[in-house]
Amino acid sequence: MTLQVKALGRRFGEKQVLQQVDFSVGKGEIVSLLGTSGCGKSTVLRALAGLDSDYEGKISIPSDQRVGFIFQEPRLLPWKTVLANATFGLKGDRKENEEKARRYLELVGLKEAEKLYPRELSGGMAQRAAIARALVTEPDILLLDEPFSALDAFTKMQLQELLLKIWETFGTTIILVTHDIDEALYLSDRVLLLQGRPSTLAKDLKIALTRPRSRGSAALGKWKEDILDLLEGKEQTYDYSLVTEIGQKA
Amino acid sequence: MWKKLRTHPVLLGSLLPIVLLAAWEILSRAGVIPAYQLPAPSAILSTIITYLQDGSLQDHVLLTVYRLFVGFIIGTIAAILLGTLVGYSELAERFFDPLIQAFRSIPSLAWVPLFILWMGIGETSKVTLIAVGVFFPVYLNIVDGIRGVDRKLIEVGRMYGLDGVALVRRIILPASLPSFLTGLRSGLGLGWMFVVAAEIMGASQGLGYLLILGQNTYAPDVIIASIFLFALLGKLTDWVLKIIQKRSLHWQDTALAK
Repeated sequence: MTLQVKALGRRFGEKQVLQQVDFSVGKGEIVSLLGTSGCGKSTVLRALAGLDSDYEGKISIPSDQRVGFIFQEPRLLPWKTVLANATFGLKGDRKENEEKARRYLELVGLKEAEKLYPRELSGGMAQRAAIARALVTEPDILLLDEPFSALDAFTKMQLQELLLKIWETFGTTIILVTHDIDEALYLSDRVLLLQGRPSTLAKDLKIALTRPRSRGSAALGKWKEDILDLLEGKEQTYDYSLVTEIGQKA
Repeated sequence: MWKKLRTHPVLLGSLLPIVLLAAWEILSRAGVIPAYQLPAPSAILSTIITYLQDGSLQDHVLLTVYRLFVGFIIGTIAAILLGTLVGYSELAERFFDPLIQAFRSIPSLAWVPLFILWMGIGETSKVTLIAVGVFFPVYLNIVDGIRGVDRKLIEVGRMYGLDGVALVRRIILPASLPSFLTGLRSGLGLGWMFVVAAEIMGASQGLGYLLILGQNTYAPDVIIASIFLFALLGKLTDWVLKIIQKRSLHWQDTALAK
């Protein structure tokens, strides 16, 4: 087990946002946290990243596991070039770091853009640069907080493919927060559904479909329908053979 | 012709000064404006040339610039140290800021008699006064700049394991650079104001001394010549800072950055 969350809760002032969330993520898994906005899914991720320490419960990540984080916005440092942004997380010899960063910039398709400043980049390019910056530190666990939500549909698809390519190349464990059901279904091995006020983990869905998946496939369509029903709190009409309730692994 | 006038970067703006200068010259020569009150531009120019030729103007200018420079550096360094501390640490803010704000509400020229009493009429009191004048705008802008640093960028720093001094050096200072440079420019402006005050309060050399000399010897040409030189030098030093600002902020995504 790479990462384990036990009885995670978070309150902001008087308001309990998150309650009793338990889950674990295995090495090399892609897991999506899905929920409506304000459900606390980003809160879970920030706690995992160590950006928030005022949570209740317990998070355990083995100390040898490096954690990388990709934010919703690129958050590049505007005074640094793409290359300097990419090397930001590295220590030690500058030449070596730059060589390394160039390799990752090439991977994300920004080879030609290393001398540009963030203001000269499109939204998609900026987010690619942010991905390169996170990858350069060679994280074992990559946390992504709605990383593609601000991008146009086409760029979004390209970056989703990129994420899968990264996963295939490095075997990175990926935890992705999203409100986009299609994205969660296209990418994930498991979809964790957060629901309720305060939010709890309502479902742990195993998406047992092989990759590469086809975006328009009937199987994904069925899944989407089921998840929408779940989110709306409708009577569950989905096929139970595909779904595992929390605690029961398929 | 009209189109050229409208689009040329300098032409339109220099029209009014040229017309006024010409009118001034003509009226002075015709005797409408008495020369003992306002001498003609040509007379002022020849005063400047005379001073230049005997080498005294260079000495005056150099000494004034030297005082300004030393005061500016001292004030800026103090502002950087205190401003960074107060901007970054809430504890330091609560400790230092009330006192600093209290001192700020003293009009800086009110210090003059005290500084003379303490440090005499020599260079120390002058430089100190200039440093005090430069300190406040630089300090305020640094504190503001640091406070205004995007929390999101600070999170990026923390995500990559930065803390304390490293976070200040790699994220907070560069991010607050625009504000710092604005502070430097207004600090420099105030510095020029205080160098005049410092030199008026007692100096035997410097452009401010020339002002007083002109007053005491009924020489308006000398006064106007030094006013002109103050303006010229002020503009020149601001221009230097402006270039530095432009160079170091070329990454900014603003309407001005092109």
